[in-house]
Amino acid sequence: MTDFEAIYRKNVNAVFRYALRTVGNRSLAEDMTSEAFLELYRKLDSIDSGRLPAWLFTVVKNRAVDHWRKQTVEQRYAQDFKMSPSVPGPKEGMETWLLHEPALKPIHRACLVLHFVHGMTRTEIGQRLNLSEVKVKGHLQYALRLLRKAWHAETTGGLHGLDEPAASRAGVLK
Amino acid sequence: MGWMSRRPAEPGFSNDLSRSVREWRDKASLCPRPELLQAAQAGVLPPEQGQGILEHLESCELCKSLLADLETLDNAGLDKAGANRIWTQVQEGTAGAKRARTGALAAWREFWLRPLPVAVALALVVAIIGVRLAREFRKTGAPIAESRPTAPAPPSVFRLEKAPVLLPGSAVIVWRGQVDASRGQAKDLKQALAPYEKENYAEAARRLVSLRERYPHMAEAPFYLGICQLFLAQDEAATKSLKEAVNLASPTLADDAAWYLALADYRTGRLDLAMSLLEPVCRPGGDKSARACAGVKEIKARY
Repeated sequence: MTDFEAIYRKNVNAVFRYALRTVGNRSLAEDMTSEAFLELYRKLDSIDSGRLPAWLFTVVKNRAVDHWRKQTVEQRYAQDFKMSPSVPGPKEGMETWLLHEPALKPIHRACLVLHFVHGMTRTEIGQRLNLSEVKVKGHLQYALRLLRKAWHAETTGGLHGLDEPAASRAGVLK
Repeated sequence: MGWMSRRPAEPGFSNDLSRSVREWRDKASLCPRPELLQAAQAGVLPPEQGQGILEHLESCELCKSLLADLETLDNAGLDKAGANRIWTQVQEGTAGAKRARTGALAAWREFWLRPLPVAVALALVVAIIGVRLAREFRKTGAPIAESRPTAPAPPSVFRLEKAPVLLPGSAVIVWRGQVDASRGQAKDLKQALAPYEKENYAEAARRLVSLRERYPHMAEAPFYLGICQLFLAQDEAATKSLKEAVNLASPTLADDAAWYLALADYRTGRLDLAMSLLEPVCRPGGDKSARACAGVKEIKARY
């Protein structure tokens, strides 16, 4: 194994995770990771190995900054957001259930929010979380089953983890 | 608008449940897209966008929860197929770079060496210069300056290396009557440092941030947090954490905290501050003295 390959094997996971955190897209994060290692390959002779992996993170960060600078479609975000700073409001019924239901694991909650709040399709969620479409479907079905169960349990004491006044305010309980 | 949610397909909900889900979704419809939340937190958005999103994040439990869930899920990192895919891309790129280099060399040869007159002229020029230099040498008796290869610069002493994990027994001060609390702290510290030991600095940093909030007087939390931030190239944040560690540190940790803070200062170009931290550590017989003295020497030599 060459020195470069050894450096790659040692750092690729951390660099990829960092790239994913900066762009939130697995395929783009893979591209940025490979670009960072290519840049390292070109400058391998002049880079002090003690500066790794920080040097690779800096390359990724610069690429991410460039990427977001190019996303002009988002330019209006800050302006429009300031017009409605209180949205969304305080905890509401559905949200409280979602945040406090102990049977929901991060994977179920993420699938649910990405699908219902952000309108992502099962394929898109699968790409984002590195899951097959079938698995996403399974996680969504599980979460929805829990939601329905909590919904039907309202007559016997409210949603799981949902205080009654909050639930009434949110219109979850009749 | 670009950041707003799209409408998902409705599952087979009852009417009431469906309405409630719709209401909830409408309330959350101005939540920034997940990738924007992550980018804002990573500090890679243009400031005017990032600021708005961070303000939103501060007050939105749903976004906070999604961000935490994504971080947990993303920590799984790459599977083997992903790592191989990236490696293939890198290899293609390196092969391209090699081809470009050999191509440029071939073009250079083509341009300069093929035309015979050019080659002859080049030989003549070299011969004339050689003769003149030899005459000069005979006239002055001085040796012709040789072009010696310059020695490579010595590696910097300011290399970022992982600080060893101090076991809780020596890392946490045990106050009389507070043994249990200290044990709890030590256990929490050990858990927070598990990803640090596996070089997963992002996850370690996340855990250490909450540890610092839970135990505001524990020096180890900002100390290791600062080191993680250095590995993540978050030099300014690292400076802040390490300053806190220096202020809280027990004598066992003080020199190491000063060293890493000096390293952060060195990286951010605050050499005077780095120097002022290292000079007191560079004392005869000090445990970390050699490293600090080398640091002082390097700063003085280079600047």
